[in-house]
Amino acid sequence: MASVELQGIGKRFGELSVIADLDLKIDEGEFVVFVGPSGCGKSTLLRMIAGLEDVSGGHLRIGGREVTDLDPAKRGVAMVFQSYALYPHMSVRDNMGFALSIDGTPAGEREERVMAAARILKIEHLVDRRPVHLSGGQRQRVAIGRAIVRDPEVFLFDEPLSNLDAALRGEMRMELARLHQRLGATMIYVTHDQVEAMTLADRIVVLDRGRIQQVGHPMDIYGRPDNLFVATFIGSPKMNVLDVVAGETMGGLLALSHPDLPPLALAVDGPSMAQGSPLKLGVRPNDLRFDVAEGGIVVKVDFVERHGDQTIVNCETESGLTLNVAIPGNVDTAPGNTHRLGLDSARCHLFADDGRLISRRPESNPARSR
Amino acid sequence: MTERLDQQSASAARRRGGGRPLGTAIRYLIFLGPAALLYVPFVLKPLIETFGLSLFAWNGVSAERTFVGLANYARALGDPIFWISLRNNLYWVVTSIVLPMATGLVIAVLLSAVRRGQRIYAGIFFTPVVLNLIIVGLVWGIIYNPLIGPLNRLLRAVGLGSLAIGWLGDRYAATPAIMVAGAWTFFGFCAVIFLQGLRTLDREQIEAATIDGAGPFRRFRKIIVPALSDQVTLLIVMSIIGSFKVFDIVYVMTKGGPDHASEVIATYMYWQSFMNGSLGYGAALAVMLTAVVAGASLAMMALRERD
Amino acid sequence: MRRRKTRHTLILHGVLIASALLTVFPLGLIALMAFKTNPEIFANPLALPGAWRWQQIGKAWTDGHFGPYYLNSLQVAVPTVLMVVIASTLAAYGLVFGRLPGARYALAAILLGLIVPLQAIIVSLFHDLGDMGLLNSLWGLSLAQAAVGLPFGIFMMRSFFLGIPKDLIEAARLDGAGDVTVLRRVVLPLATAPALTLATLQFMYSWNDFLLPLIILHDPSLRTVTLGLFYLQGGTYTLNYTMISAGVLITAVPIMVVFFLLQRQFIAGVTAGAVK
Repeated sequence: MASVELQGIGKRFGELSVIADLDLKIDEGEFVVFVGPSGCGKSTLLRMIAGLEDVSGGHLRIGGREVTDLDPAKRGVAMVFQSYALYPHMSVRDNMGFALSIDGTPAGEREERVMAAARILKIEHLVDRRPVHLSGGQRQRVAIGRAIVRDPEVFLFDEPLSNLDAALRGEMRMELARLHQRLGATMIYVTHDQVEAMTLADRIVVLDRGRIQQVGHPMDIYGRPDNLFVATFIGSPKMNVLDVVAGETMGGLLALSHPDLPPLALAVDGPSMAQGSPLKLGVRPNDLRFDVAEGGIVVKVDFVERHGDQTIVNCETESGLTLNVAIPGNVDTAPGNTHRLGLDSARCHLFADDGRLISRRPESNPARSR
Repeated sequence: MTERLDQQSASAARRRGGGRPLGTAIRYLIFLGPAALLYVPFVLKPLIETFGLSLFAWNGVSAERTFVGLANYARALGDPIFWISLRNNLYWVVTSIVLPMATGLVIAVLLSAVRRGQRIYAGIFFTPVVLNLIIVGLVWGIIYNPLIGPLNRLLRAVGLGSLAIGWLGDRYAATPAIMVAGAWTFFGFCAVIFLQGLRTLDREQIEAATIDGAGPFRRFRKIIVPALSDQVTLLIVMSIIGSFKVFDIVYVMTKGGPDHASEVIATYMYWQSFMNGSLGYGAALAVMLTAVVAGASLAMMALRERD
Repeated sequence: MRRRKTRHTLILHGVLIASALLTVFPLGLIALMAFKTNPEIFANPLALPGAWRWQQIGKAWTDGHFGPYYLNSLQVAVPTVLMVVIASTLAAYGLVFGRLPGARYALAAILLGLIVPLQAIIVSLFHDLGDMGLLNSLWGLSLAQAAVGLPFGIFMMRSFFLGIPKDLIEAARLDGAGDVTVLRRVVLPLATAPALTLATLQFMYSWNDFLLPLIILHDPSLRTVTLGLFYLQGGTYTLNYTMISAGVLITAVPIMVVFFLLQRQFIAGVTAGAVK
């Protein structure tokens, strides 16, 4: 168990800067998930922590020890690869014990530690098999077991569940959460799947284009996204975004106008907005009220997705803007129907044109109001 | 007791030694060292020397070499035997594209249609490929032999006795005769390459064409042949390279004779360098040969990169 | 329908058997000649021998010195194969996984060896071998053959190594394996199949090689089988067809036996040589 500290970390491939001047501190025993779209640098970052990728600038400390230029094997980290990377010519036992056999651990102790890990993962009966004779889920367990056996200071996971089918993925997700509770080890996990991020993480690090967009507890990331990218990346179905124009500010209330919207004013913090400046208004599909009696946004239903536990209605406003509404349970509607959508100003997120969050006054903060 | 512990930690340390990443210089030494030790003195150095030698006149024995610039290359242009050799190489290119490839294609299509015995047939057709060209040359030398050769017996038996000649001793017949023997060593290879291509051919494509009313010949022409275009390209380029490198079979069957009639660049180069004592000229011939073969090889690599 | 299919198959096999017979006809003819007397050969080359004169094969074996020649060939081919397989594997591993700065220049140099024909180096090689005292020596021939076969070997092993997932090597690195351990315990166990194919192929090249032995080996007692067979024709036996045929039989049969035993290996190797 150890903390991981990244200080001014950068990565360049020739002229191209993939990660620039990144700072992050991960506490002992924390489960941190790096999430972001493909190409955001999350895997590169993980591989830099592992030592598989050179660091172009900055410092990397594990457990307070400077490891920036240290060989991967000497950093006290173990990694679970997306492809599992099991040695095809070795039995499960030899796969899991490979690191111990290299560092000269006596055979008896090696066997004990391998079997202990196998017991945790319930794969004791598979230890004599070769990887080719294992199912995807079993291979996944062996890959995790190989990491456990080494008793590392930090576990690194690189999209470990992406090769599994949906059912197995859910199962392994819970298994990993349980493993973290049991071992209490520091874990860093890379994924592009926001469900994995939300369910597993103590803290989520949202990355885009090599920069940290936001770091925080999953519910904070969801409830108080720092910028438009985080707001639209986390949450499914995706947050609706409307282009609005700033009007007058009166008594701390900023008037916003949009052709399809009824008059709307939000309580904002900070300096007043220049009139006429373009802004982005974000509202999550489940924060829109479906079918209010009067007022609201007039929309026509385009199509309806019934998930059983919830219904997602895809609507179009008069000006041709698409809005998604998520409604718990079932709802009685059909394409072509007209409805009014209710918009609660307390549950709206406001962003500047460049995507920065325009902070709201505390009493009207959407996260608090729920 | 302590001794045993010491032994244990020593063995652990030794194992840890294998776990140590090596420095760059040591990695170069271990990984590329052995290859360099062979490659540099026995391939790279002579290759460079050949280029140098082609600019000199040297008989291979005397200590003195005379720099002659590009005179050796100019000499080739005015040398009728060089042109005969080059023309024969080009004949080889054409023949080895047409004869073995056509035969190989037919055999491959037939083989792809049988279910049982495919491996045995393929093995038989492939046998001439693995035999060395000295065996091939001797076997066909006997076939063509004017006294005991079965070819002339056959011709006489069917009343074509006027065509029965001393094949390898005839200035017009020698090259075609060798080329037939050469084709014998290459068609099985073509067949196997085509067969591999046919295996990847979508069976449903042929079935769809059949349902669309295409007969066997149309299917062959419109579906099978186009699907094998990669293999055709590969074999053509290989034929070109092989046809310019050809040496063994010519040397063992005719030594380039009679009177240089079946000479190819490689045998002529050998004759100039090792028999005629014109090493500079031989080197110039080698450089020209290399240019053609290297060009064709690069073309082949470029084709493979494209896929 | 069914009957038509059967007839179809019969015709197919008929054509294939005829082609196969035609293919082996020249070899069969020579095999028969080896048992005939010279008068029999002159009388009718196609007829069966009057008696199976095995002693003619024995005589050709002794008079043609094939015993020592076989030993010479082995003495050349075995070290050649070992050198090529070991040096190619190491070099290919270094080029793919060795983190060698400037590896692409080394690769380019090797590529050069792949595209130039043997004829491009033969004259200079002859003189260089002479300077090194390696002419007229089986070791000299082995070294030359190994060097000439090396570019292809490196290329073949390299394309195999390129197919090994990078994750596997990185996992081993994280497990604490250094360069030597990764090679010995992860890469080599996976590389046995291509290494065997390369060995088979290189053995065949070495065994069948003619040009290098022709220029390197002058002493008749050092001849390889291939070279010995060649001189059978040019030597005192020019008109002794029995002797030549027996020599062909002696040299061809072992190759064919090995080929049929290792057919899959051979065909895979030879065609891989073309495709890769």
